[in-house]
Amino acid sequence: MIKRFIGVISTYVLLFSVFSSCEEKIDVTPSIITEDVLYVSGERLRISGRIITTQNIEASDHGFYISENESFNQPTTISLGERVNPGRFIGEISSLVIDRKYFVKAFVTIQDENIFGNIAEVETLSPSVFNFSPNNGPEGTIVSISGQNLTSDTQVFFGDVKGTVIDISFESILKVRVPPISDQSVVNIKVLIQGKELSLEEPFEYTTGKYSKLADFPSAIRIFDGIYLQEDDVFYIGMGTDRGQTMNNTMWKYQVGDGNWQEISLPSRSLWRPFSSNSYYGGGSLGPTNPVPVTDFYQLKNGQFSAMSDLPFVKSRALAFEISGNLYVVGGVLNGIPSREVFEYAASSGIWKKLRDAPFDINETVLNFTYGGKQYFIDPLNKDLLAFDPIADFWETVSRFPGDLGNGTGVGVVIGDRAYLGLGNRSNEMWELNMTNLNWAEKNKFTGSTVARNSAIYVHGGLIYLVRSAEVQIQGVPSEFWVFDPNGF
Amino acid sequence: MVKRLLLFIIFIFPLSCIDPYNIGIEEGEQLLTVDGFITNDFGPHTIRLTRSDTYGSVFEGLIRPIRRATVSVRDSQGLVTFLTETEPGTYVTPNDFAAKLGLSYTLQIRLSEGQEYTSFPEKINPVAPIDSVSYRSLQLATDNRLEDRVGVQLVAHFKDPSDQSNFYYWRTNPGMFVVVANPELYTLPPTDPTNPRGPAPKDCCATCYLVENSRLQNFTVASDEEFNGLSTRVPITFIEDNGLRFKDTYRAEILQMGISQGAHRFLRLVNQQLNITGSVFDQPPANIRGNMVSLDNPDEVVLGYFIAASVANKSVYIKREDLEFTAIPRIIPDDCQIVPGATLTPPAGWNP
Repeated sequence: MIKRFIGVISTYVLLFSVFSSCEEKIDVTPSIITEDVLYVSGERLRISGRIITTQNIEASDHGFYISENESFNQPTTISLGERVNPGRFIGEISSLVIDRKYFVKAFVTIQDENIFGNIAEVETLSPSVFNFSPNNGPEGTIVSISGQNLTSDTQVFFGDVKGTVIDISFESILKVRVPPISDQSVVNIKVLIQGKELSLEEPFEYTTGKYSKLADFPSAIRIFDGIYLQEDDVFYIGMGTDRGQTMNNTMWKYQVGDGNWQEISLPSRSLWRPFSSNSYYGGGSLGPTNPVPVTDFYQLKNGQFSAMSDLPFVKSRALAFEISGNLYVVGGVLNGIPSREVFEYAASSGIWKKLRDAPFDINETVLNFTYGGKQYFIDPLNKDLLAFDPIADFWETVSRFPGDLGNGTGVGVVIGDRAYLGLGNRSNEMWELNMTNLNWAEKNKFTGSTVARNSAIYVHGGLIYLVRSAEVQIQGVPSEFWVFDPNGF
Repeated sequence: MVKRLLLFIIFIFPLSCIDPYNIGIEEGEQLLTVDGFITNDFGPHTIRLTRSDTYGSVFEGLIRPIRRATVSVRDSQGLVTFLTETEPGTYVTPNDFAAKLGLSYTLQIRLSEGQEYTSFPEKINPVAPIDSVSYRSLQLATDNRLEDRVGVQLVAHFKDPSDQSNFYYWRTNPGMFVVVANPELYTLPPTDPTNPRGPAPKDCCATCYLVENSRLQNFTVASDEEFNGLSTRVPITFIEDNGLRFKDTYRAEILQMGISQGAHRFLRLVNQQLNITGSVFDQPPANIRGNMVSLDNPDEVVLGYFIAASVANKSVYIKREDLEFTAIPRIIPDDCQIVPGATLTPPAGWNP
C-alpha cells in the first residue's frame, strides 16, 4: 500500500518537474539612435533621435547631449523628460555660438542609467545679410533686412545709432525700426551678430528736407501767370497778373544774400501767361481781358533784357527750358485748344525749328526738369515720367512719379544727380529722384500753406528758392519767399 | 414524459440568439499631406498642402487644401526662400529660385493655427544627362479582344556614373501635339432651318497646336544597383494613342531626376500601391511614411514626401509616319480651334 502510494507520489513529482517551467522576465535594453540634423543655423539646432525597442520603457528622461568636445565634458543637455513609448523624438536648442563645431548624442535614462546613441557632428552656420527695404524714410520707418542665420541677439545700427529690432522671422527676415537721425542723413547699416559685424553695401537715407521762410514778398501783389528768370545768383519775377485779376506791371529782382526783393523797371510790355526759361521769355497775351496773342520775345543776358526777333508762333501757357544753349518751347494753348507742338530756338543762329509733337498735352503747369541733355516731364494723367531727347527728337517713358501731383504748378529742379519734384498746388509732398538709379525717395513734407502755387522757382548753391502765392480766395496774405534745403534736417 | 422532454430538448437545441456585431471603426485623422518637389532648374516649383480625409480621395472635395500657411524652403547654408500661395493649398517658389547642387534642402511649414512641420534634409545630387530619347510603337492586348491599346513607349538612354549610388525618378512634362482637323467636312447643325446637316465647308483651320495638361498618370523610378556605371536604357512611360495625339507630330519631354535614397524608396512604395490590381499577389495596402515630421508632435503621421532633385530633360518629336501602330484617327469635322486649348500658334519651344 505504501509502495503504491510512493509510486503515485513519485509519478506526480516527475510529471510536475517535466511539465512545469519558470517564467523568466526578459529585460530588453533599448537602442538609441542619434538620427538626422533637421535644422542648423547660427545659434539653433534641431535634431531627431529614436528609441528602438519592442516594449514600453520607463525612462525618467531622454533627449540630447551637446558639447564642443567629443568627450562631452560639461555638455549642454536638451532634456525632453519622461518617456514610455519608443519612437522618434526631436530636440532643439537655441543658444549655440555661430561658426562652431558641436558634438551631439541622444540619450535615454532608464533606472538612473544613461544609454547613449551615436555621436553626430554639427557645425553652426555663419550669418550674413543681403539687402534691405525700404532704403529711405524718416525716423520710425520699419526696415526689413534679408539675410540668413540671424540670431536672436542681432543688433542693427544706422550709422552709430542703434535701431530697435522688432522681429526676426525664420532667422532670415529682420524687421528693425529706424532710430532718430544723428549728424548724417545718409548712413550705412551695420548688423552685429554675436560680436560679428556685417554691413550692407547700400546706405540708408533718412528723409530730409528743410523749409525756411526767408521773407514775405515786399509787395501786396501776388503774381499769377507771370515770368521768372535766373542769371546765376540773381532771380527775376514779374508781369502776369495780380491774383489773376488785374495785370501786374511790376518786375522784381533778388540777389542771393540780400534781405528782400527789389523792384526794377519792366523790360517790355507786361505779358500774361508767356513762357519763360532762365534766359528767355515771350509769347502769351496782353492780359485776361485782352487775350490777343503776342509774339514778343526777349532774352536776359548779363543782367540786361534785349528784344529778339518775333516768335514764329503764337501761344499762351507754353513751357520753356534750355538745353545746351538752345531754347525749347513746348505745348501751350492757342484759342483754348491745347497744343503739343515743340519748337527749338538755336541761340547761335537765331533760327527756330519745329520738332515732333509731344506725346501728351503740355503746358506751364506740367512738372518738368532738365538733366543730362534731356528734358523730363510728368504726364499729369498717369504720372508717367517721360524723357525727351531733343537731339534725337525722341520721347520715352522712364519711370512713374509715386507721389501726389496736386493741381499742377509744382517744383521740378535738379541739383547734382538728384531731381526734386513736388509741391504742386494743394500738395505738401516733395520727392527726390536719384537720376543714377531712378530711385524715388520722399522728402520731408512742406511746412507752409499748401493753398498756394509756385510763382517762381530758382536753384542756387544746392538750395531751391520758391516764391509762393496764396490762392485768390485767401485775403490779405502776401506772397512768400521760401528756401528749401533738400539735405537739411 | 421522458420522450416529450427529449423532443423539447431536440427542438430547443438548434435555437440560438443572434448577437449584433458592431464594427468599431475609428474615426480617421485628417492628415497633413505634402506633395511637391524642387529641382536645380529655375522655378516656379510647386508644393501642395492638403488635409486628407478618412477614407481616401474617391470623393473630390474631401481632400481639403491647406490655406494661409507659411511655407519656405531652406538650404543647408541657411538661405530661406518663401513660397507664395497662388491658389488654395498651392505654394510656389519665385521664378528665379533654383536649388544648388551639393546643398541640402528642408521644407518648412507653419500652419495658420501655429503647428510647425519640417522635412528631413534632402540633398541635391547630380544626375546623369539623358543621351537620347527613343520611342517604340506598341500594340498591347486588352481584355477586349477586339480593341488593343496602341501607343508609344518612350525610352531614356543615359550613362550612369559609377562613382556613386544613383536613384532616378522620371516624369514627363505636358505633351504637345498638332491637332489635325477637317474643316472642309463641316456640316450645318441638325437644327439649321434652311439646310439641316447640309455641307458647309470651312476655310479654316486644319491644324492647331495643343498642350496637354493631363495629370500625371504614372511615373518610373529606378536605382543603379543593376546598371551602376553602365550605359543603359529605361522605358519611361507609355503614351496612348487616343486617335488625336499621333495624327501628325507629338512632342514629349522627359525629366530625368536624381533623387535621394529615401525619396526613391518612398516613390517605389507609392508605385507599388498604385499598381495594385486586386490579385492575391498584390502588395498589401499600406500607409507610406514620408520625410515630413511635426515639430509639435513627432509621432503625428504626415503623409507625402518633399523631394529635392537635380534634373536633366530631353524632348523628342514623334511623327506619325514613323509609327508602326496607330489608332484609328478621330475625325474633327470642324475648325481645329474648337478643341479646348487648341491654338493656331505653336507652343514655346516647338521645333520639330
